[in-house]
Amino acid sequence: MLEAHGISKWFGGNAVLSDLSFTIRPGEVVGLIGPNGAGKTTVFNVITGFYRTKTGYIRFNKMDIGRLSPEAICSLGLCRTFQITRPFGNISVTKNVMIGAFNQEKSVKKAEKKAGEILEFVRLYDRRNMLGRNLTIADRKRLEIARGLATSPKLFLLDEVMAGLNPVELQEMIKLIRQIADSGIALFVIEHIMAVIMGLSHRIIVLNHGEKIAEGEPSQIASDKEVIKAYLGEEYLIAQG
Amino acid sequence: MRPSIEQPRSSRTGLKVIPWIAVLSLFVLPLLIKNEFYLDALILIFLWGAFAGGWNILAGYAGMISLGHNAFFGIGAYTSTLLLLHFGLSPWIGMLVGGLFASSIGLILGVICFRLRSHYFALATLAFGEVGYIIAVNLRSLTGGSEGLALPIQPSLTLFSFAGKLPYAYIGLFFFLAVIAISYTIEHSRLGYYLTAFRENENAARALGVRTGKVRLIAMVISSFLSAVMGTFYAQYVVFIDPSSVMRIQISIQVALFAIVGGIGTALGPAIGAMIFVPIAMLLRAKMGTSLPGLHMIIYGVILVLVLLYMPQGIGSKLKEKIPLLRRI
Repeated sequence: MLEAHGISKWFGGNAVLSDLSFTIRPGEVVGLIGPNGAGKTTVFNVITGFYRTKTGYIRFNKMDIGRLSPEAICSLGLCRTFQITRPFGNISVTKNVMIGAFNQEKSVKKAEKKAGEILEFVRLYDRRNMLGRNLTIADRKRLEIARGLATSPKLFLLDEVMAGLNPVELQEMIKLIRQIADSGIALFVIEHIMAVIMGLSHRIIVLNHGEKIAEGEPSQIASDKEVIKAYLGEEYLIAQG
Repeated sequence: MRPSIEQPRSSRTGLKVIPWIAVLSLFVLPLLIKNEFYLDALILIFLWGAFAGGWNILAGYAGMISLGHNAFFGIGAYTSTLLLLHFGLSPWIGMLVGGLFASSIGLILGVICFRLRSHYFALATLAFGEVGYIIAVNLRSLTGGSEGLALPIQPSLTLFSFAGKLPYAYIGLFFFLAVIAISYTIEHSRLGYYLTAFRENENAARALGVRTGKVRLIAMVISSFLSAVMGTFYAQYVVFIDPSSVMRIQISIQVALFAIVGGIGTALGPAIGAMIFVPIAMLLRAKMGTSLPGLHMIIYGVILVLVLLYMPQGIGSKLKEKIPLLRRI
């Protein structure tokens, strides 16, 4: 479904991504992990057209999307959320989601109906008339997801939607992400909370200093020496008992 | 069925009548005013309200504050007037030609300047507006320079020229209501949502598939077209134009002021702004124009400061908050 090959990205003289290749298959949940500054969000920015790369190629459903704008890429069914939530602050939650829904629906009535359904799905329906800027962190994360879902993505990129949540909110979010995955949407997930990403993903890609240092099923990753050395450190080993 | 998202149903039916009553009273109003001075004030409210509404389509919904709309207003006024003077073309047609001409210029301006954000965009358009003024002053063979152009007075519907003020009042009212209707329609369409999304957060909008460049160009085209149309209306009503009355930069600042104080980004806000400011300016000019010229500018400034301090969303939005009846608009 998504095929990235030989992607590199420099900022000035710094290589942020070097020669990165990976694929995502339909219906799959793939985790993207790595220490701070490993280049995870840069990967998302490159895939969704916010950054351009001069090397390699990115194909989505066999189509080259390396030169397309973010809005064009979204119309193809590849949508992302932002790590730092970006609600449309001065309009209602419903209108926020309607803007996503307009990606597929031309009529205002249909977009409003779709927004209502999605808000119920992400359990934000009772906050539908609040302004975007008045939401709590947890609700903002839900709104990011709701808006993205409203565009009817085939592949949905989630950038740390679980960061900053309390344990209860976290469990709800995990449940929500499972439900999205069960509905057949492929997910590519950046996450810091190890226990969560291990439980959610079919496959995990580990990034360090812009390079892929490991890829495989969660159990393989957890025991990969390279990964433990570079990223998980002693804490994870202790947590594993 | 779940209850409707905006308002409980019970309060709705009665409310639908109220805007129509307001519109109806606007239609009767010009007939009731016998005093020429007040009729003039009413026509100018319609003119500036419609112009500010046109400005608001780009500045209010998309958040792109333009200070160059004086050039569109001037293009409208000069295009129809020159076509009338040199070719005897009906100003009604000249109005459309001027509108299309202004739209094309707006399109080019948009392509060049839309990469600029907030105050940088405002500054670039300010320069554009100033260029318009300089051209109008210096292209004497065409525009008559600072001496201006006088329009023939020959009452006839096809020549957009009338003996009394009353027909102008109704034409003005038509434009006034048309701009409100256009704004309302945009606000409640996909285009309006997309413009708002761009204004609120450009990258989030793009990530959701909003073609931010395209929707802003559409807004620019509509906005510059309407501004030029009001330029023609001004020329036909005042029957004299010169660079300082239709091209100077203060015109842009004035419409921005009306829209901001009335309620930027709302369909009714610019109209409300014009209703507040135009009468103040006219009264002060009539009563104290000789003893204290320019006093209205000082009062403008005071009102602007007070409104921005106490109701930064504008008077229209504040009224909406306080009067539930208005909330649906």
